[in-house]
Amino acid sequence: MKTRTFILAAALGVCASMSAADITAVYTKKVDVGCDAHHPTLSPNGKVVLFTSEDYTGLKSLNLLTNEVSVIDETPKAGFNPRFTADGNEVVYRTAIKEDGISQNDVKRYSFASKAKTQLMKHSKDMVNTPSLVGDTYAYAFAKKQAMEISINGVKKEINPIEYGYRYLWPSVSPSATKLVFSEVYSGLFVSNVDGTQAKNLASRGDFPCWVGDKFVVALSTKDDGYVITSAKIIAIEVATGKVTTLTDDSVRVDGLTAIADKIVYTTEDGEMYIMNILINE
Amino acid sequence: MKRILFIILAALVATTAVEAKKMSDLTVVIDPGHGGYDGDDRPIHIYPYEQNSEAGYWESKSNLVKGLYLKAILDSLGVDAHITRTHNTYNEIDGDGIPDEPSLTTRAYMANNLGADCFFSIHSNAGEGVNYPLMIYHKGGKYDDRTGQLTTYKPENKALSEVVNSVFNTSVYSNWINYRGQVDTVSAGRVTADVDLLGYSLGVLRNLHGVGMLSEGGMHEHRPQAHRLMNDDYNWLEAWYFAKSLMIHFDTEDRFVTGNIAGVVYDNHNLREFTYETNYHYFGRDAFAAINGAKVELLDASGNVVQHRVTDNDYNGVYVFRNITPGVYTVKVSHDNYYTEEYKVSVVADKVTYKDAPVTLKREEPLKILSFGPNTTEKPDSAVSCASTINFEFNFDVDQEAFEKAFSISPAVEGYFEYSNSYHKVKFIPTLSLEIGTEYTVTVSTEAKTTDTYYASPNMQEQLQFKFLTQSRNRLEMIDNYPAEGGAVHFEAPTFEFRFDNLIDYSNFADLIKVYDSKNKSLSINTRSTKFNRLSNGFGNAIVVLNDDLTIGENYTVSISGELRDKENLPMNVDQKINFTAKNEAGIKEGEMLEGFNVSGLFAYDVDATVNVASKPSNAISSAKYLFDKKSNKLGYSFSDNRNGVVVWNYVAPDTIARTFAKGDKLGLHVYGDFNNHELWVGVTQGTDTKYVKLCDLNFRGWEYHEVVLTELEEGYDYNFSHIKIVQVTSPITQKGEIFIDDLYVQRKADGVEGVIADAKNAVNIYPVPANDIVNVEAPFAINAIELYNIRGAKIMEVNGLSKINVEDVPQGVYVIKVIADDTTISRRISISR
Repeated sequence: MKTRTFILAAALGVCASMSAADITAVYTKKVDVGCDAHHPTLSPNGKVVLFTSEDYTGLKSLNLLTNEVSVIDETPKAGFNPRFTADGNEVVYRTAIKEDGISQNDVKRYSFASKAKTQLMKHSKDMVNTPSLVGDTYAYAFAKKQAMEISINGVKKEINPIEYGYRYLWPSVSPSATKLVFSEVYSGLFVSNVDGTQAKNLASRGDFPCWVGDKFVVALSTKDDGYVITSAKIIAIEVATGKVTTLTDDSVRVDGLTAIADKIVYTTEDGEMYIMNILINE
Repeated sequence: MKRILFIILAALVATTAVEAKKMSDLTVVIDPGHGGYDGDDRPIHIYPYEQNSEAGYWESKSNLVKGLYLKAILDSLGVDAHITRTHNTYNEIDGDGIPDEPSLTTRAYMANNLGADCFFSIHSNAGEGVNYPLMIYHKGGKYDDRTGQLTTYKPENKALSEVVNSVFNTSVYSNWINYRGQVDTVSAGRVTADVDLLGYSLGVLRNLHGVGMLSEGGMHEHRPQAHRLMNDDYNWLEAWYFAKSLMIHFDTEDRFVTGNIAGVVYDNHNLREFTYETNYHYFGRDAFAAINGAKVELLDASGNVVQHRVTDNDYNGVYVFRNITPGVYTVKVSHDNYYTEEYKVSVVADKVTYKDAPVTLKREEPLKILSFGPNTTEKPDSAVSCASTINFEFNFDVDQEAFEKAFSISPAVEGYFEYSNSYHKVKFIPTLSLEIGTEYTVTVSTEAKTTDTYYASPNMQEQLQFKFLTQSRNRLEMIDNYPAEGGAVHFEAPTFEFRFDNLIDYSNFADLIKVYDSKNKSLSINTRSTKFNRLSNGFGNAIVVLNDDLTIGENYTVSISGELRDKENLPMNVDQKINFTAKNEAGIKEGEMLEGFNVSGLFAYDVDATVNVASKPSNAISSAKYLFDKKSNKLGYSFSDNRNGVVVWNYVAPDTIARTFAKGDKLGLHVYGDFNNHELWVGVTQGTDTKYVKLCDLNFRGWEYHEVVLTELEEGYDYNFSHIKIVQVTSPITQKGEIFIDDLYVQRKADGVEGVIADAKNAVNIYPVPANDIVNVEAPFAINAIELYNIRGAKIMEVNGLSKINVEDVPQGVYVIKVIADDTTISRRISISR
């Protein structure tokens, strides 16, 4: 473990000679969606936010141009990890049922234009790889039980970038498809090459990591007492230098976030939604 | 990880059209709560580990052991089981103070991402002195004031927690570690709680999609439970119960076809304190010493050893035989220091058979008394305190019933036995104090024995008999008090003082003193300002301050319980009640105010007139105690001996204002007394003629206004206020003190002062103090009777028409003497000493 710490320190030392960029929050606006909002997901073009309830029951969308809220689905787990198609016109998501007490998931596709829902896969015990279903052949990553599956231009590969990696969550390919950010449940937030090589630890904790351009990753950093979360704030980390910038303070109890190049949408424990515009100075 | 062997029922309905639900259909995420060794990982200090030693008890550690065992059991059942953490370390990678354990969000997300049918967070609970299971769930169905709708209702979470709780409560906690054990068989009952009702949001439950709950297990602050949670077998058993609960909750066709045997090996008489020092008080089986290193064997009907265990070194005595084929077995328990025991046990499938193993320590020697007390062998003429207890120490733990039959004391004394050091020590504690000046004989017959029922000669070989003589004092006496019975106290910042013939044990004094008004409403005592002092001759006092002022004219009662004891543990025995009235000593006075004592430099002590002092008398302006203008003058003194001391301060005011008195004028002075019972005199001077007049006895604490008529002055002359004098009274309780004086008044004779004694009480002189045989009374009025009362208020003597009373037949001690005249009765405490 000391070795890992040393490697990180060495990496940061090297990066210190690089020219650092700054990331700042320039404007934050509260959005009233008329109900509790949690676990947001931004569309690739930044025009639509999907959100759900605290326990992922139901899936709704907010059009950021019109402020119109639409109900996509009201069934359990519909809001867990939905996936936009690359053009942002459709979304693939799961819904869950219990069959004699056993959880089963199906997969549905929803069209914003027609508001039509199509069941892509019937209910089963499998947690289907939704990224593979959205037709996004360019690049995606998907967390499996003890590994991650990445796909670049249709070429799939299973990777396990951490020597003692136990479980991976929230893998995300950078906009340029050269880097991968992910969380390992024990060791925290990592960035690596897209093939999983040269993994570097960015933080001991980082939930819901997202790329903001190719140079920054934002994530939720929490502390807890083993029972309740005592601190939850959004941090931005410059990938090259490891420099950490805190974007929200402890007064805001963030419980979920999503981001694209210039925008972070986050929700709070109280079910409030905020949009934060960010500025990166090279 | 040891290999886990399970024999599971095969699918019984494989040939039916509908596939039955099996454990292998389930996906379960196990979440060992906390992680690592830092502040939120809940260490409990247990013997023999250092505080916060990683080798000792940490909740994070036992949670993980239980979690890993549960995963192993579920794996063996074919469950798709996952665990949120696999080790318990602290590794701070980036110096941000966050340990490398999964965040709460991560743990729940992991379950959601795996599509878990059940999320099971494993914890244990804090709670000293209690031990019961608690299962926490998130029921939902809460009103959402934003939408006006109810949140998702999840009754299955509650159902799961109730199943787990039921399994725990009926199988483990009621029968095995019911914390009240044999003392009180009432179980803590089934306890489950909706997290919404707890008023906080558990991080691992709030975002959970599937069924989930958090088990608080038992109470690890209950030290015996923390010791058990150090035991591998105990944690395995808890995991087994979790697995069984899942079978029941999901109504799977699987059931354990094997059973388990669990129990604790413990000393059948010695307590935990026999093996390690502990200040905690335990009930039932938890009170007894758990035995380390006991060999426990499971024998089948043919006498073959099926399984064996050796109890660990963590003072829990736990053993568990896992996964036993149903049948009848023998559990054999052996240990070098204990007699071997065997128990027949029946094993039932899918159940735990509990078989605790109380074993008998091998003493193999007769009982011996190593020491006893009071032991006056080396000083046979010495006397012991009447508060003495009768003490014994033995070579082994004594059989209580046999000892109490063997013990006798003559003359007979009522009392009770108190055992300590795991029955290696016993005290016989008299209910009341022993009688004064009495020789007691204590006998312990040979009926006394150890509890070694296997040994042929456990009884003491020879009878023990010893004698001791008690001292002449057997109770605490209150020898003086302010206020006196029927007295009056200045209403502001009321302060009381009680003096005793010994230092008191003030540990519970606040509980033993009460002050009530006439409506029986209790007044608040300022415990922080209450002081306890050792006085100069070994006596003690308590100075008590009330938090609030009194109401002028209201009647009050201060009472001190007879349970008050001195440092020798002698009780006062008699409740003391003192009635008094609140008065205002700062009210408007008739006459002319001559001096406010608001500046410094008003006094200089008289070197020639001051005698027998230990140090130079002091005087200073004071803003700590005053009645007027927020200032007074403080006069401090310290006599060198217990008699013949005099302190004189000359009044040396630098101004030239005349503060004169003429014959027949009345002088009045506000005095804050120190309750030392010395005499306070004032002096007035004309030319070289100084006249002293006694103003009062300093037998009060707090402010009082005292007046005296100046009858001894020369007619036609003006005398200036010139001196303050304190005359030491022989054998006062203390030789050191300080008084405060405030506004000096004169009321001219022409304004109505008559040439009479203004303060009859102070004009009465009772001597000698202390008295031996004859007590004399001098009074400026005719004495009708003199009465003598003991400290408990009983009249013991009375003389009529005399000015003296013979007390030579009265035992020494403190008494109250009453001098009765036509218009007044004067009460004083006197001490009789020889």
